[in-house]
Amino acid sequence: MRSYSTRPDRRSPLRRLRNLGIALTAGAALTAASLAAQDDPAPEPAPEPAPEAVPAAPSLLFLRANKVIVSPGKSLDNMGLLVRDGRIVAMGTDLAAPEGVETIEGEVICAAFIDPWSVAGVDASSARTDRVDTASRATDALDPYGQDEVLDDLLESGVLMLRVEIGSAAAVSGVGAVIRADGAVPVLADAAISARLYAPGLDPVSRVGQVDRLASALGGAKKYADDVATYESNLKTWEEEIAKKETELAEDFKKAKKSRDKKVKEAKEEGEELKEKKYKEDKRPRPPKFDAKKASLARAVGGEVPMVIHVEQALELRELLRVTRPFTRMRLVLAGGRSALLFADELAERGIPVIVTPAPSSPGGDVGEMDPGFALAGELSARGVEVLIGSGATSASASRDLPLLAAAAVGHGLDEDAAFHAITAGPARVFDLQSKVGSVRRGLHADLLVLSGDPLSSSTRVLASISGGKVVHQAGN
Amino acid sequence: MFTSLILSAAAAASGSSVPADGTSWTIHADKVYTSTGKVHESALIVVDGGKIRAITPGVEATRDALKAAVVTAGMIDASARLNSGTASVEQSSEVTPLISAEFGVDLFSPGWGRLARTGITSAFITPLNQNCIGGMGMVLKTAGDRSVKGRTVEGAPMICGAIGSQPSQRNSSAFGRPTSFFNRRPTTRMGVEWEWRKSFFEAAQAKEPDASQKVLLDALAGKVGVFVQAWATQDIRTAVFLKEEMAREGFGEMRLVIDAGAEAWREPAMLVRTNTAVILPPVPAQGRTTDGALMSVECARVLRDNGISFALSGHGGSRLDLQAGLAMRGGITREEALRAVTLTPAQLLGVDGRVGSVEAGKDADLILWNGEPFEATTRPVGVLVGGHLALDPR
Amino acid sequence: MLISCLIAAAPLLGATAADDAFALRASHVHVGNGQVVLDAFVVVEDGVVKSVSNNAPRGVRVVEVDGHIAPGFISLRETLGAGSENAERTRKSTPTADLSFAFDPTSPNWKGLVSEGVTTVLLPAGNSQIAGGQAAIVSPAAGEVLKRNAVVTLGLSRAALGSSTAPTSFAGLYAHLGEQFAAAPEGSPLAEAKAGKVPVMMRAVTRSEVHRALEFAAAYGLKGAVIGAPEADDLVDELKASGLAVVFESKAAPASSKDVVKSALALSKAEVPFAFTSDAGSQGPLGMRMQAAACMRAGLDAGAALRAMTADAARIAGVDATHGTIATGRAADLVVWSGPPTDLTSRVHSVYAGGHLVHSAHAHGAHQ
Repeated sequence: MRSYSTRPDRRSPLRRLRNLGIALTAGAALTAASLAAQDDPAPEPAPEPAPEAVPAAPSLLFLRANKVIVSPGKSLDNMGLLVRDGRIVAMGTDLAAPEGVETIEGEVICAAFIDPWSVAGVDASSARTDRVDTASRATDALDPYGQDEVLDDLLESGVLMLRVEIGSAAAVSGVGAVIRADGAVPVLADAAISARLYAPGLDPVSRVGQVDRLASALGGAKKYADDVATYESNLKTWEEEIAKKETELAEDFKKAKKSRDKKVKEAKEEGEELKEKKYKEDKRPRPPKFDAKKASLARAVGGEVPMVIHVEQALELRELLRVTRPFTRMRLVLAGGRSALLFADELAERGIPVIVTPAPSSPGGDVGEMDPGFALAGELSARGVEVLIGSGATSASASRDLPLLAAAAVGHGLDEDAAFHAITAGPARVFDLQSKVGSVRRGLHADLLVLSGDPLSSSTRVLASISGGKVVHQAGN
Repeated sequence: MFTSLILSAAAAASGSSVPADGTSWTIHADKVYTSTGKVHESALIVVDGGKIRAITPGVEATRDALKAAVVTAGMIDASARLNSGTASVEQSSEVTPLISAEFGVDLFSPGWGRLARTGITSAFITPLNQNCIGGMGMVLKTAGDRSVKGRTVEGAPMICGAIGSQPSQRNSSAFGRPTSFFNRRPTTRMGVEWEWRKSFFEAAQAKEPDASQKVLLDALAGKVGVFVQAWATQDIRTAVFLKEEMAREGFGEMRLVIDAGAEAWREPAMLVRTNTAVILPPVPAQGRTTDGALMSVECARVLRDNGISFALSGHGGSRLDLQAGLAMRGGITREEALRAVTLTPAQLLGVDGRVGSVEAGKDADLILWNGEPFEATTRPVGVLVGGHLALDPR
Repeated sequence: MLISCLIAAAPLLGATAADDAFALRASHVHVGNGQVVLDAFVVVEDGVVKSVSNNAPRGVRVVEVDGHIAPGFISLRETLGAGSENAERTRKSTPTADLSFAFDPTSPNWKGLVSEGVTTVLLPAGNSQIAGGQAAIVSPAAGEVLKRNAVVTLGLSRAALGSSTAPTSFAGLYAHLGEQFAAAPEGSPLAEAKAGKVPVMMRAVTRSEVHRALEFAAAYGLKGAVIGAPEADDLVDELKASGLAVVFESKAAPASSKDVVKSALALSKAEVPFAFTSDAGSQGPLGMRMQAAACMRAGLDAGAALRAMTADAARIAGVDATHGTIATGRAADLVVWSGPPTDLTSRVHSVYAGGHLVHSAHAHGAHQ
């Protein structure tokens, strides 16, 4: 199950099977516990603002700015925000700070930055290893203490949330997570499954072979999911049959018992054993052998979690788009995408977002002449592809410069609102967090930045960073 | 006597020790071990301008005094090995007497702070022992000025080197044409000794000795000390026999100090007859040190019983006081152990005019202990280096 | 001979043939020393800025630009166009080597650099050299060597120590360098450096290396800068006392990036001049601008950041008489930006080097 509280529980068959697997190894209590986890209803509407009546509690925070960027392209002037228990509970132009509540003021308030392609907060060797499989979890590799300097830098520069992944050297690596930079705390423990189709220097046959291997892995996972679904439905049918027979039996028990006793007596008279009739219902359907790797990958195939694939070169990208076409429910996300311009139309049509790491073009490098360099984000966006900007998951500290990367993309053709979307609302939406973060609205979590100017401008300073309602950085402290 | 009465009255009357520039303090200790043999009870030590001004026994603590159970002189690590590794030794030649350790020191390394906070106030730094004769060592304070010059304690000049397997480790014979300067002698212990002897002989026989050879001549004459690392008995023998041979040849009487003399306890007689001092390395965990030398905690006691001057060293590790405690376990007294980490290394390195004991006029390098020093349950709670607090007891 | 052939060849990026006078009019003209003139005309004649004023010039073609004009950036190290030609590895000391010979004006890497607003570059020796030679100041856009033998480069970091070549120790390095300085004949580069006539650039990375370098500079009366020094914030007092400047490298290595930001702020506060390099970081030609932007986001004033990339860099390289600011008599190395020059969101519209238009971005939505 996707372990955050406000996501509706879809109860997919795969989820059931995974729970069954846990039960097989760990006992019923665990199954009961996981199945019994309750989901919150949709967030309740915030009460009407009545600042005078709200008592000054430690979990209250008041923010005010001349401009609040509610979402990319939409801003409101001269607004106050009230934050309580980590959520934005009130927004308004006539909002006043309640008595005794900590107040932070600035020029601009906007959603905090989210790095959709990062390794900050993850133990360095786990990030680079190739010894992972699709069932490995990034939450097992979080390292808040070893990475504390990197994470502190992130709080100062306003990148408060990260999608991290491990096993960048593996072909298909594990389940990534979205974490808060403050303490490397997971917000969404299973955010995406990542794969890598980038192997510069490999010959073309082997490169296509990589894609084929991925396709067969996806196919295998889909088959596994289908087998599980079949098992589930067979099990259901079997249980229904059993229940029907039992009710029939309950009704006609006496009659049936009498008839069976008669048969037993007859058999005994003839000196034979009574051969009991075997009913089809006696044979309980057997579940397919539990395969954690396939189960995990099947979640991506089924579209439950997005799948992020790092691909730069045109050959791999073309093949990838071709082999993933049959998997209609799959939510594909590209990372890198230096030659994605060649397939921009298909990407736009299929709604596949691209996580771009603005980097200089290297003419004659492994992507060759197709590498547009820093202009990639702008050119993709102009062709209708949803662009996200990430730091590239090669070095933990690179996440600090995420707003600079977005600004550099603007300086090379990306529309400013699209750039802001690429590091706030975009990552939130693609990784299923849009109901929690990514924009500034009542009811959403308070992951905000108070700035001295426009968020992407190089002369802007982050005056305060608020992560989940907690002030994790304040300039001048 | 009369002076000390007046001083004590004055000290008691003033009572204030608020440091103006951070180098003036008043310290009161229940016991002061001076390292000279004298022990003061309930003494007040006045520090001013980075020097010990006065020690007054038998007085009560003043209001602002730093208080300690015991005060001793700051420890001197006679072989601290806090250099910048291979960048501190000029390996293009095996005999480089002119290279100074000053360029191979990184004063910004956190190791210095660790030494200072655990009571080691001065350290003898040498180039890395990859050369036969690596260069000139120097005594540096472990805290204070940020430049090497500001931290140097001028002492007896010493050329430093090694006899054993270490200097020959990187060298190899060339397969065909030599490809680097590491294709050279020495590749064995014989070769190492050959290099030593060769450089002394050539210096002694040179008609116009160059700068390096002048230093070697001074070493032969005993004006410059010779600080040789020799772990195992065979290497200590080599060093001592070399000294005797040079004397026999009439080149002069060297002043020999054996560094890391782990097996010095095996044949003390030769050390006694040549008046050689020994710096002991940290006691090894499994009984054997580098070069397979066998050493136990009793090593210090054997040297003491034979009347050999010895000092303890920590090799840059920060628990010299624990090494002293282990030596006590081996049989020496606390006074002797204290001497071995304070006055004796100061004398061997020629810096006993400034450091090494708690006496008026010397540098204010002091350790404030929370109990009898060198006990496992005691640790330094305050450290002063040149009057500055490296570890604050308050 | 070789250099003059290269110079005779047409400049790399399609310069306009005409040398006639023209004026640029822009809403903001950043002079480079912190001053910004609003709604100004910059008059260029014969490759040199003739005037900067609010008055419309007469009898001159006026080009209206929608944006900000700033001096071309000066990168105090860029070896992309030199390959490995700046390190003579058979010898640690070649103090008289003329590094302008390492300049390859036809290298395709220069184009990217110029399109990011860098018009002047210092080509120093490699880090593995102790006295690698005299750096040249070149204009990659024009394909010209602007000044030969401009700066004496000294390598005083661990990279200059050999593992199997002499010297292997800092003591050996400084002994060797001392001998070189002592033996340097009158008029030779090292002698000129000792006399303070030619600036030096000393590469030192760790704090103790920088400390040693400062002591060496003090002993020999050297002027110039330390290049590297990511932890310069720990040595501010010593740097201030030495009169030397600091040039920050834009390395891809993670740790140093953070320290550079802190160090830049500390030096700015202490009024120690500093500059940046564009040298082959992970952001390529954008490295210098990203480095400056990172410092600005941490609190460095925009004017100080621009100075570090223009006027101060020129002063460190010893070319402040002709480059680094937009002022009468200075070379017309100008960049037209769509917004403030230090802002990463600004685009380069056009680049002028020596009065010639050497780069012009296409209008909105540039596609390749």
